[in-house]
Amino acid sequence: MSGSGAIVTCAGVSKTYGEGVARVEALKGASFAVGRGEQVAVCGPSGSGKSTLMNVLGLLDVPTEGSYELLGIDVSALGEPGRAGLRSRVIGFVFQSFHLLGARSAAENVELALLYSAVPRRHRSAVARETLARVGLAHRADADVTTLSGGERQRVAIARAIAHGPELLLADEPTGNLDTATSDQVLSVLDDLNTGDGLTQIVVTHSEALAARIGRRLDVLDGVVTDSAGVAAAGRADGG
Amino acid sequence: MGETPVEHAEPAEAEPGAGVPAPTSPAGPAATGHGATGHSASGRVTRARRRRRAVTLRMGWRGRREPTRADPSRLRALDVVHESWLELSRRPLRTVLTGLGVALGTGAVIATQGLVSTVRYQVSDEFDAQLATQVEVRLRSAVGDEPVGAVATPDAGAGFPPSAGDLDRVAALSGVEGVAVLRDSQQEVPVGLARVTDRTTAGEAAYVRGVDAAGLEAVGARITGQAWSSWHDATGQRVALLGRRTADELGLGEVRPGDQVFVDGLGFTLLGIVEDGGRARGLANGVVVPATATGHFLMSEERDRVLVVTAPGAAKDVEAVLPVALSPTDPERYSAYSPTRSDTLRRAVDGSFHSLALALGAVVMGLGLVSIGNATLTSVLQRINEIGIRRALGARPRHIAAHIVVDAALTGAAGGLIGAVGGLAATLAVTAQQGWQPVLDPRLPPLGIVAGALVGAVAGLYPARVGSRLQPTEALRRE
Ligand SMILES: Nc1ncnc2c1ncn2[C@@H]1O[C@H](COP(=O)(O)OP(=O)(O)OP(=O)(O)O)[C@@H](O)[C@H]1O
Ligand SMILES: [Mg+2]
Repeated sequence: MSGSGAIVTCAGVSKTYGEGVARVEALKGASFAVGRGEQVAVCGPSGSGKSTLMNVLGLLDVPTEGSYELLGIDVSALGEPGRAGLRSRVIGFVFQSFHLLGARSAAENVELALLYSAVPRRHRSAVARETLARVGLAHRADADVTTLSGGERQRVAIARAIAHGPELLLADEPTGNLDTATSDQVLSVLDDLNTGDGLTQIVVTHSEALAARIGRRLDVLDGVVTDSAGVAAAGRADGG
Repeated sequence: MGETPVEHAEPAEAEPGAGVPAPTSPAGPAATGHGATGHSASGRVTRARRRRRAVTLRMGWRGRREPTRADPSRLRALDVVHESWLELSRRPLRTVLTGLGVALGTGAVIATQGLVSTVRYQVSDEFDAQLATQVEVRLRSAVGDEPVGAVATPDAGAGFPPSAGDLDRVAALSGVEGVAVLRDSQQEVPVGLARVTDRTTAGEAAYVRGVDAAGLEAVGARITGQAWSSWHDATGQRVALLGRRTADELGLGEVRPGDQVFVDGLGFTLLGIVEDGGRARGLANGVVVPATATGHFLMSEERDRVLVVTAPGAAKDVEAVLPVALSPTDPERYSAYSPTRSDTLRRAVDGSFHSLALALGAVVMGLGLVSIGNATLTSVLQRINEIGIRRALGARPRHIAAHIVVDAALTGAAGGLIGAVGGLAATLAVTAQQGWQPVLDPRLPPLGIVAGALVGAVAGLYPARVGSRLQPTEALRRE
């Protein structure tokens, strides 16, 4: 957290759902840091807490315990407006199931990334087209997203996740719904963004091959996050 | 991060080769530290600063530095409308169906209003044109200023009908165009028909109407067959006309020579049929005989009247001098009145029509409210995933609420527009068909659109509450 290059700093972050018998400890005292420009793979079996971790990091969910600093800002001190502000400026999301809006063109979907920063529409449109060109979809900018292939849709989703110039890209199984060939396309786009632009990325994956491609790795097992870099791992400080 | 939006706004100035602005390492961390400190220290930016930034935004991010990272996300009002427009215009049929309730409500109000105004205009047009040229005179005793004799002795010199000389004096008044003496029987009497050819006698009950030959002309009665003359009047001939309704009841299409009517047992030669009574509408319903021949029947003193037709605008003047003209020695005997005095009554009737139209519209608008509210809630529940996406992209709960309310308001406005067009079209169609001049209130169509938008916005409040309270992670899980 001290390093000015740290994008994400977690200390004892826990997330508990439900009460009593229904109580689920989805995240148990995660402590780790991600520096600027890093690319990190998050691996673990189904139900281990990977998505929970991503939601917390992406400010979509609030941890029940622990401290989380994003770009040095203690987000637990922020209300929803401030968190929404950070989501609109600093964070980009890519989801397994693309999560694009139907009945809209690729460009219109990408424009949404700038909607909640009050960027004028003319600018939004220009940026959306440039960003689509960057993921190799300039020719599909005006196509309805429902007519696009899975790989194309995910690249539109990536364009939307980066159009506003975020500092942290969170991808939850971005290739989970894609075949190997299209996965490679999508992954090379992500790699380019990391190596070319220094965009910090945290990518959840089930694929060992993908994890191997990525330099650093966080393993999640039963809510416990283990850092392969050995910086921090904390499973003991659960719940109490 | 501070710099990135600037790069967006000025794509031309973005780093060469990088269409997507990338965080620049040297500036990033420094700005990070600064921004974070600045924010936590001040807590909230002042309103003035925010306003200045808003201006900056509209100017295209030029000049000043933009908000720090942890400032609340913002959504411009214009963008809310544009987003709703995208959503609604891509699903036009659904939008129209959703707004149908409001369309019907607005249409009903505008059509009713249009028709009521048109009819009122039409009525007052005829009313004024005709009734402003008409004065009625009755015996004051019959109007109620004096006790009314329970039984009026037929023609017993009670002053009715006035003598021919009295009537001539009235006809000579300036502005008078015609004079009609009108009498009605107290009750219906049996009326039968006798024809030369088939000798059938059908019995019906009908009123006896007394009128003089000049009066038939003065009231503008339309007669098939022939009317009688002043000679018949003077000599009290037993001739008669049948009102069209009574003729129909008796099964009489047209009068043939030799046709007779029996009125209360007395035979009258049938001369023709009163198709339309003109100013004296009652003539089309009953047996019409010379006023001088009414002595055979029990007439209603209360209904005895002299109808004076005047030149346009002369009614009031004639009304003033009429009693004196009719009875110079005893003007108090008569009471004259011109019916334009019923203006207030007419206005009251119009008023109740208008409140009826408004009540009808309000009921249908209420239905529109429910239908939009219901459809919007359904649409919110169908679009939960989209709400999750928008939240992930930085939307705050109030932004979600704004989207939903504006969706509903625009749907309502669309309904109002359709209703306004439909209502106007209906009014024009009816008035064109009736040959009336349509009278339309130009304020109504825009008012209908605004009312539709308001109804929609109100209907969207509850769905907005539901949608804005969804947790983003929950919402994203729903497909
Ligand atoms: N809203 C919730 N309420 C209750 N339990 C939840 C909720 N969200 C997640 N969980 C539980 O938390 C645990 C971790 O879930 P999570 O979605 O993070 O797993 P995951 O590692 O992403 O799995 P997968 O690889 O299948 O996506 C699971 O046991 C899940 O059932
Ligand atoms: Mg998951």
